[in-house]
Amino acid sequence: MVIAVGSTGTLARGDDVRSQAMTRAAGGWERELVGRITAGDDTAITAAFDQFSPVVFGVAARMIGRHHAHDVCQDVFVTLWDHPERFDPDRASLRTYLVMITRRRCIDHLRRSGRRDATEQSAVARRDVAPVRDVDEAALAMIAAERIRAALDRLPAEQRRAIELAYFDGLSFRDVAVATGVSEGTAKSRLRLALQRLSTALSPHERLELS
Amino acid sequence: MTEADHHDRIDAVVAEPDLLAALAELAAEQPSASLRAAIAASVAGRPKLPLESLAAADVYATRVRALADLLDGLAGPDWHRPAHPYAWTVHELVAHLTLIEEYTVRQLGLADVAPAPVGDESVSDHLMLGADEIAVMAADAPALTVSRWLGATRIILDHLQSGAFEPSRPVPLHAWPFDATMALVARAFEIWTHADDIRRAVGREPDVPSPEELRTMSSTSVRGLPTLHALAGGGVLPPTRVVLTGSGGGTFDLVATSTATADDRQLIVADVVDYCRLVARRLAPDDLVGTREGDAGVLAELLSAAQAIAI
Repeated sequence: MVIAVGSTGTLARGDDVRSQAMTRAAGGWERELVGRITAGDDTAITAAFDQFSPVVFGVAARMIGRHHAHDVCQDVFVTLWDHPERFDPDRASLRTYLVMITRRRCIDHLRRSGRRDATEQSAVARRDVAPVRDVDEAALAMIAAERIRAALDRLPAEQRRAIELAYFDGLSFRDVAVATGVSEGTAKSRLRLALQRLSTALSPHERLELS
Repeated sequence: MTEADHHDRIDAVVAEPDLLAALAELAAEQPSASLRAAIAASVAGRPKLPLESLAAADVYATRVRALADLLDGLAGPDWHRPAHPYAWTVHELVAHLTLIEEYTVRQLGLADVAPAPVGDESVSDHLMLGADEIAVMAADAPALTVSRWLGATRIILDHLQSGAFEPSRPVPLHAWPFDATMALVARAFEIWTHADDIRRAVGREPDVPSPEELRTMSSTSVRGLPTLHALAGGGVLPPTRVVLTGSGGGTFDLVATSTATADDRQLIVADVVDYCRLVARRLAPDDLVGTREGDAGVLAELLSAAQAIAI
């Protein structure tokens, strides 16, 4: 898969998800969950929280610190309640959709505030046992994560560092370049190469489907 | 976020959104329990407005119109096609509908004969009501049967528009102590169901009622579940939530007959059209797709009770 750095964004404004790339569409449980939310079942939001809050909170905490992550996480799930119609189950999984809008909120925060909360140490990424509602969905996510973790570990150090800064710390291309002491062009090139390798770990013939 | 903000971040250049989610998993961290409670409280304060439903009388009128249009478009041979799941032809099915419509006229107090009380065995069997007359009617021209059916519906429709209609007046149908509203919804269900039986018989696609009709039909059915469940000899009913998804659906909390708390609430989730087809006995409870949580026996009793309205 060729990923063109600097191409126009594949994401539209707001919380709508538009992607021309191959993504896993939402499964039956996710579709029903959003149907329940649309029908006004508030217990569906707590079910969504139980399933997805670790990844939503975790990525927000990593990007902007735990204190602000609390607010972003609340905003993400309340937005899902208010506007379930923004999620298109044929375009992406609910997990992917929530991660994308979480990151968008965090990047908004970083642009407003200038930087993440430096008083907090980054939490060691860990997975406490969470009461997941859909075991299959959670299992697929963990399998994909393990593949990505392994692929990340295999990256050359400078590419891995670029991913950490750009993805987990939410830095712009220019800020990644400044942080690593290279030109913006070199920073983008490292990210492009890293993303190509990571994407291979998730390629269709590498995907593991649960029967 | 502006387009300019987006273009300078990694999110703008990742062509596979699933990669973003997979990377995010590496940072996953369990949030505090207080966050869950805060979100639950926030959402509880933002209830969703249900779709405005049609009055039962309007749903009945709409279904009558739809069937009348269908019958008007049938060709000669269509009337002799078998109307599954019955042993009747299309003509005989319409004859059956006519007899039931005339029975409804009686039960609404609009006929010369007084309404039959609940439990009157002479009218308790829906399918056998006037069975002998069906064959006689089917021997005549279909247009005569249709005319007779339209005549019965006209009496009902005129009454609904007259100002004398009382939505809460007892209108028992067969063994069921319905009120007028429930009776009209039951009629609407039957007319819709048999219209689809006829469509199927003549090779046409089934008809899906509008979201507003579905809202009325499904909500009337669901709200009646505790009563129907009790009348069918069902046991103690714990708190139960029924969630019908899709346009015209909604969330309904049934009144419990037990002292169990909302935390022990049972859950039935189904697509609203599927639920209506189940109510109409065109979908078996075991074939209803969707989440069910709680006592399997009680849930099965409820779904079985839901079919009682399909008279």
